[in-house]
Amino acid sequence: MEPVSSFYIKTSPERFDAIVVGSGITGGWAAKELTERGLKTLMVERGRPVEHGVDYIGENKDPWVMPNRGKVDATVADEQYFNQKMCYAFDEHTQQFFNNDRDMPYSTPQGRPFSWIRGNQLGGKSLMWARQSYRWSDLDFEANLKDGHGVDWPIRYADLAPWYSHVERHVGISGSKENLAVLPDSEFLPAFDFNTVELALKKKFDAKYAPARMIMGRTANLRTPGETQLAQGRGQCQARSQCHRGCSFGAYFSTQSSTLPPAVATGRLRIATDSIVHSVIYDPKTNRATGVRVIDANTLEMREFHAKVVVLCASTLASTAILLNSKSEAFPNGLANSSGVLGHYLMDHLFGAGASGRVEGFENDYYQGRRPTGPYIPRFRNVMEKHEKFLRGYALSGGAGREGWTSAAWKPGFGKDFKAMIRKPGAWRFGLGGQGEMLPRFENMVSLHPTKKDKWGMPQLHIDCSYSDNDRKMQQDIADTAANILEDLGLKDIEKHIKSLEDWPPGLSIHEMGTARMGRDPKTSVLNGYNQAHDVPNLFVTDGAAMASCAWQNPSLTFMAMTARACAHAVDELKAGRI
Amino acid sequence: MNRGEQGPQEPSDAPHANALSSGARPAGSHAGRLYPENARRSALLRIGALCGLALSGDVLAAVTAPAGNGAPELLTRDELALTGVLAELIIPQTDTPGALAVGAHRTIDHLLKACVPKRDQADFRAGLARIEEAALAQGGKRFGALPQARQVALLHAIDNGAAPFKGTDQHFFRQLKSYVAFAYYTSEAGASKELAYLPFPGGYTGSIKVTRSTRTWAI
Repeated sequence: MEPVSSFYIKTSPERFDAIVVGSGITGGWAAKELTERGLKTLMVERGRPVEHGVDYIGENKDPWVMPNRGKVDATVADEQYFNQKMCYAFDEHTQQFFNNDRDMPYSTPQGRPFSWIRGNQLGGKSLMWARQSYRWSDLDFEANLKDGHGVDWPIRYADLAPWYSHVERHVGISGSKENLAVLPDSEFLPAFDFNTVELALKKKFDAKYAPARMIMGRTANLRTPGETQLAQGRGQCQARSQCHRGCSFGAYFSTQSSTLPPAVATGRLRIATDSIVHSVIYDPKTNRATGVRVIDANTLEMREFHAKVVVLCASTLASTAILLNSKSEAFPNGLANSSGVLGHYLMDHLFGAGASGRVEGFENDYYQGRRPTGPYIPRFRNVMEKHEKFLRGYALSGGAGREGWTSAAWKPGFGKDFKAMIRKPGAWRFGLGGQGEMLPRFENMVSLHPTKKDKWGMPQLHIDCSYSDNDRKMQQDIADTAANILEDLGLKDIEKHIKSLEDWPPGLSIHEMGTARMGRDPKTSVLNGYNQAHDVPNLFVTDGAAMASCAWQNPSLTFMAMTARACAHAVDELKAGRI
Repeated sequence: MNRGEQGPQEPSDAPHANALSSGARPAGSHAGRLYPENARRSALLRIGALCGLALSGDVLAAVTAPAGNGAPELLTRDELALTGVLAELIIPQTDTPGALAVGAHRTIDHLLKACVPKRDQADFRAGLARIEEAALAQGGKRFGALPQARQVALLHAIDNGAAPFKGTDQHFFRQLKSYVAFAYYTSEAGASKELAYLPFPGGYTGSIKVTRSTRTWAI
């Protein structure tokens, strides 16, 4: 295979079959699916190129060789990464993959912060994602219809199931078959192991809380690679838990490790990096998108690329921003926005609540390696019985580990005994934290700021999003329930925690979804069941913007399945001459 | 700039052109006063003796002048030296190097300057000042010049929040301990000689048995 670098272009006079905007989890999948189905495809990325392995500059660096031992320079963080620094994955090893907030500003209303975590480079956030991978079920796709919040999804689980399988076989999802109604099984590679304490707690939990169950978190890390992943040049997870620095083993799924190589191998992919999409070009005569206008990130020069199909995979908010900025006489409020709902129904997952405690005994048990996932309790709220206080539900995830030097330092003592105590593995602790579903609400929205612009002259996005009463009640229940579970499992010194809005504003969960939602009715939704704009048939949006609800599971696997399905549909429609 | 330096890796004959007084000077001396090289050296040897250390030239260099001209980045030289003495009392040399030998106080000085908010920097320095104040009030000497038994007794008091210390002092000491632990266990010796450091575990094993030689994972 030729190196990817030979496929970079700046300009092109040719008309492509398809343009994919963005190169993250969905952009990579769109490029792979479209090129493998025969389309000459251009991938447009606003950030710089990142070569697999070569550009993972924080990888394999011992703490003592880092200037700040892995900690971020406070001045740099405060002045340039004031939003990104809130992300758990942001540190001295990973800083290069996070956006500079000073250079890429957005606005929020006074008192309603939103933490937009972004990674603008080839590979996007696929380089820093948390890799948890879960199918959604009909409990999720029917939720809007049943309780009336949000529009009904135009698809059901059966529409996506074969596409889940399609992407899972390529990505490699480690997990265990469980036959749970709320959480369909994936096509699995072997799951990561529980440790001794987790196994003991799982037995207690499964017996007491059936049909709820504690399972191993399903993740796009290769505990044991399959033939398909080995053929991609990917290797086994080394359990370093340094995934966010980039993984040259390709042991987790990223654009660079998994979707880009096969797309490049077709010979039909071109990549334009440092190209900020200004807008989608629209031809009112044909009612078709004809390409994209881009701003050169370095020279500010404006260019155009042309294609028969445009697929937006720029990330939830960026794809919507592009549509909002693509104004014409036919679409004065943003392209494909005849419904007026473009920008509305922004969601993120509820986080920041849970409980932890001490586990007695097991002094002779330890573990080796840093597992990239942990025990997971799928949704049990509002499944069989209706909860009196809130709609929808949440998952709990966590794990058990022995205390080390970080917690010992906050205990009494110093000197030789203190040092000797730290040398021995400390007490076992086990914790659970929640991830809950946020309701889709019209008032949670993004728009283009009327006056503020960024340094490329693009209007800034104005993000107005807050939690509702339902969200807060669910957050409280997450903490209470987690604490009750720990008590039932026999833990000691149980502590509950709930983060305030200041500590965990919307956006920080990095599961932002909605703002160009799917739906059955063009009057109340932007996209149809194939992620195809109701208004403009050769325009697709296949990232998180398309989501009509946010479910309780991590969304990335669903983004992948939807993208593959939408792109297959686009190719069929193009070949049939319908778009 | 090599900000993650290890004390022992530095030359023992580093130039000390701008060396100021150490924390082990006699009570009542004036801050900023220049000490002759031999006096400074013997003062450091006394710190080492008080810490129960046979200080090598390398360790001396770690305490005094490891980076550039040897000036601390945030702390004064007195504060830096006191941090060094406290660090060694918290994580002393045993069958493995202690905090001083890995230059923990230098790392703390750098991280305070680079990564810690101004308010927390001020709290840290106020905490050091409280220890000096208590040492002078009780022992008539600065902390570094007290016999080790007195030093340990004062640290027990601050660790427990006992008189003359308060809850805020106790909190400072816990914070100091977390800084010392961070600087020590993220150093090469702290991570790989004192604890078990495995950068490439090769996979996750959920169950291994603890033996007499088992050590806590550094990361």
